[in-house]
Amino acid sequence: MLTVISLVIVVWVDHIVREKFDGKKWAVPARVYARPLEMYVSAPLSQEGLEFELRRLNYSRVRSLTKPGQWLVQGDEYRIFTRGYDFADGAESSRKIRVWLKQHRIERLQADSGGDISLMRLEPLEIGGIYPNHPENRVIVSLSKVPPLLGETLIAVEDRNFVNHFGLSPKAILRAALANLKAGSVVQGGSTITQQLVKNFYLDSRQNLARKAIESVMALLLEFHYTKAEILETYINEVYLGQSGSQGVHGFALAAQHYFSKDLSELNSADIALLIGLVKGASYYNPWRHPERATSRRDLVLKVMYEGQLLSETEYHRARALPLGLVEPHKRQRQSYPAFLDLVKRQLLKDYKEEDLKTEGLSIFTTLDPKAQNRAELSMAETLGHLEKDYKLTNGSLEGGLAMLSLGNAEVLALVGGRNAQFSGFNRALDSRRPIGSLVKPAVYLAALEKGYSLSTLISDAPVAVKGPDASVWRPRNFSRQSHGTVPMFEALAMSYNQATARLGMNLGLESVASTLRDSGVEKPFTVVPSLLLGSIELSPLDVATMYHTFAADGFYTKPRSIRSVQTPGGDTLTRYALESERRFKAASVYMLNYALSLVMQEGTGRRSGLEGMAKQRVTAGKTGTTNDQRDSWFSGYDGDRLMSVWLGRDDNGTTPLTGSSGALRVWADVMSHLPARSLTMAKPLELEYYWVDPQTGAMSGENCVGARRLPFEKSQRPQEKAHCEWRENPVLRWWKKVWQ
Amino acid sequence: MKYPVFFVCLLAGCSVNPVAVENITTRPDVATGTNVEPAGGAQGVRHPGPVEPGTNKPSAASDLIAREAEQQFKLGHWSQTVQLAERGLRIDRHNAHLYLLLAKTYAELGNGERSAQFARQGLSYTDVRNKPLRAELESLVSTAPR
Repeated sequence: MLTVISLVIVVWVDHIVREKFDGKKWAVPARVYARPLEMYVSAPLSQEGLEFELRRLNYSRVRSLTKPGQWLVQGDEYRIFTRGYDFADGAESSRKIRVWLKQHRIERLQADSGGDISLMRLEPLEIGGIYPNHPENRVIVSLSKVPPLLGETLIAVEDRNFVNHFGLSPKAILRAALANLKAGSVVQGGSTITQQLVKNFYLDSRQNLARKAIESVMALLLEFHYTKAEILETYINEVYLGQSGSQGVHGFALAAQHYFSKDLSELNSADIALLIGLVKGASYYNPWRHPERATSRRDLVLKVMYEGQLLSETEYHRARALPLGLVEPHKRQRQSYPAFLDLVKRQLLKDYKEEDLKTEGLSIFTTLDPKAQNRAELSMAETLGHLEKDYKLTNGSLEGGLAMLSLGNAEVLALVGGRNAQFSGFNRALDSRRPIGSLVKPAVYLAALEKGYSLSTLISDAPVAVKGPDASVWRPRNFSRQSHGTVPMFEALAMSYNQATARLGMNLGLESVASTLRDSGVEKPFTVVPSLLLGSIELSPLDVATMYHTFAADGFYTKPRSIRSVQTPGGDTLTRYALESERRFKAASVYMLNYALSLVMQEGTGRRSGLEGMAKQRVTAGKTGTTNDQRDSWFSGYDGDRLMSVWLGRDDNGTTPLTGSSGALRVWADVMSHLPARSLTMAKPLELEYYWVDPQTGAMSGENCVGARRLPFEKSQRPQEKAHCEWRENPVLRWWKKVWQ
Repeated sequence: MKYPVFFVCLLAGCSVNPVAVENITTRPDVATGTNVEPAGGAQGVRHPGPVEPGTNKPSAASDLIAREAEQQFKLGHWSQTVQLAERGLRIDRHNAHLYLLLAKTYAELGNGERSAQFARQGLSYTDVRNKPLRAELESLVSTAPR
């Protein structure tokens, strides 16, 4: 009878052992990665940007390159030992490279052995994870990726007889039993690595005879069914090695990141000794809290390594002399971009179950540009502080949000949800809905250009009154409370005249403007009323960025994306979020609009002191926005590489002293001027030509006529009237000068 | 007399006959900048363009990617082609050849609408003198489902 019961128990235990070991062993959170840094000759990259990237990727600055993950700088030459990475579209091998930077560009890029490199990329930075609620975290690693020294030391310290025993070590049990009897309590364990694994993987920490018996049976069964390599690999990923906030640090790969910010392959012998020392008690030997205790434990492990001939005498003494080499406590936090991760999660949840994101160990490759994100966070916090000081506002009264897109593909490069970017509260970049004020005006002018208006078409800026359906009368006023007579369209937009825009919009028809807004990418519902023409529509910074991206990308609409692809732990691509684009406006109309928006920056409301340096450096385009009583300060603008929309205001919707120019534009300019970029260039449509016109009449003029401006026109829409020309200088003299210039 | 006037106007750019000064609409001077949101004058104006389509020198890196993508396309590796083309466009969004590869790939995948959109975008960035490329892109636009 006893035999039968025992047999049943063994069969039952065997089932448990195999079910868990063969199945999904752990719930592994999805890991989220930033975009990899692309490197090629002429790529925009500053020294600060490159060093930032290397620091974030935990490359060590050294005097000579000996292994991957290191860099040094000699004069204007950077030398980097890259780590390499298996990208879905091809592997990037680990190699030594040399990079020369000049004027915020890569001037030369070579392999250390000589020979130019046309194109390469660094590995992507891990920026966070989608964590399950249970308190464990780990990075799974296969045994082949574990440094042999780590595996051998682990066996030498924890279970010298691991290779030969069958799960239990009678000798070790006997030795421990004697020690425990002598002490009258449990002071020593005789567990093999297999038994430790059983305890951690299948059982809890309670100790009694029955559990010990089950543990032994399970250890025997594990050894019966699985190879030593499989058992050791599972142990290496399972073992508890510390605590990070509310989550346990499990496995050596995560521990290497947690304590040293290194990959397993980059650990030196002292690092390995410290980690293996922690197996005995991660809390007791916590190296930050008890450095002396941890050092003596590490040194003991080093001695075992030396005695086991795993280390030479020289290496042993060198390793003992090393400091613990822990990552500084303030850098221990894993990267945290709550606003961006919020967007990533929202986009992922359209295609994936939340449970899968938290347990399947997926890799999420995103579009985040860590340098741009960092700059955006910094500029937002600093500028708000300066504005509060300058305008004597209560400290902390202003808030803000911004969204930055890569020009052309609408990849989200940065997202700031508030002035405290580390706080994952209300995400203003996505969820705040505020009237956009004059940011709506480009849609009004684009609607006009689509209907055959030109930049020189004259419109009246005289006071305007519009009757509403309820007999109310809407009387928009210019910001300055003054009228400007008849003005050409480009000037009305550059100077942001409200009366001219309202009149133009009413002439075009509200539905025409509303449809332009929808075509430019506004998906949120809005009310089509006359005040729409001056921006009563309420949008978030990301909505505004989407809309402006359609203008900046030559009239092609692209939905913003924060994710490029999702991969399984094995590296197979589950989902690719491909680029899509659709022409929404005529190329010529958008070209003319962009031209006018560049005038905003050069001579309109986007021109402000302090931006001259940036204006000389590159061409930009954009638009300011200010709402009633200056409750909202907006700016949306772009250069040749990036587009960014910024909102500033108060969460209680209170008034501020800020206009779009004095508030949001300052944040925009501070961010953009810190990021190397190219000038905005636009491909001129075939049907478009430049002509000299007289802005006061809208009629054709000439280069040498006083006040003439060169503006782009659709060839078929060129002005037919001819303006009087008052010569600026004698044309023959001018021609002569040109010849000799 | 006709020819000297033509010559002078050619030099001056005044390709039109002058009109009477009194016909010009008068209006307040806007150069003061006092009646608008804070703004400035008009010195040192720089504008985006004009850049003739396809005349910007394509980046060597994006050209390299275009060649790799072309190879993948010939092998029928659609996903690789799309990934490489997208990578190339991150480097140079005006590279018309990369749009052509996207358009051809989506046509192979049976997505005519997306193929036509990329072909349209490619045309926007193609030099008018590059007739073979234009012809290929135009044929992809014309075969899109209506």
